[in-house]
Amino acid sequence: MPPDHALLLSTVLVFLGLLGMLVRRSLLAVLMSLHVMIGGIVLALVAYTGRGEPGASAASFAAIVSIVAILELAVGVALVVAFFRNRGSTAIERAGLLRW
Amino acid sequence: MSAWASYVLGAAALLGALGVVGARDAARGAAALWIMAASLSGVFALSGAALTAAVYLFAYSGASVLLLLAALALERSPAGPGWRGNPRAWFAGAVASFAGLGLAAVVFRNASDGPINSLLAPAAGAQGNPLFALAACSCLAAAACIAVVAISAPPDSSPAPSGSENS
Repeated sequence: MPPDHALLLSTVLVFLGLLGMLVRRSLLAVLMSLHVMIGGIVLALVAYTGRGEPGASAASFAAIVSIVAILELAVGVALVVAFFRNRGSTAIERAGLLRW
Repeated sequence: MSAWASYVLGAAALLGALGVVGARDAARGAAALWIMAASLSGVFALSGAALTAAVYLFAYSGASVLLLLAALALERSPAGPGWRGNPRAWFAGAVASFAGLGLAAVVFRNASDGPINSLLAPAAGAQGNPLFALAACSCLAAAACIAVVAISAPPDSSPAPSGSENS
């Protein structure tokens, strides 16, 4: 796949994830949509490596981003479980503690 | 040939992302995220980023198992008033998890010049290989985080109160 096409696919993935984050009501679904966005970003990093842009270690950086994203997912699921134990639901409407 | 394969894998990743965004519940979303991660990992491998592909596939295989277990613990069954996490569903989730992780391991084991072999071969001779240390530390950190989540899971699967929202 040419790098330009990979960048186009990564853009679509980022916007799909953004759409999911805005539309979905379950906290777990929002978390998974966030990871669709991260997948698009990692694909963009790998595509920049293929283009020969400055910073050829972008693939290594993409691996580190993947690891950090997974650790963030584990913490996010722990937060969702704690939220569920407090509120009895994972609906995002009930997460209004910091609402203005 | 590899160009067509990367286009097919990219289309599969796009379908997986659509599945994540449009899934009815989190269990189906976790499965779609698994498909998207595996397809993107294939795109990475065909683009020459073997280490990124290996890390991405293994990390998201574990993450999808975590999300699947969270969906089993936190979601109500779409077919009835009870929770999704009945004994039959836990068994199906365990089978799906072992099948997915085992499939990922078999794929990488059979790839003779694959990323895992190139990752582990230098580590056999050099104890202080930073790449191997990074992979080992990330696996340990992910296992610790998964253990924290497992400890903080709800203790039982009692029936849901009527009138509350699903998922």
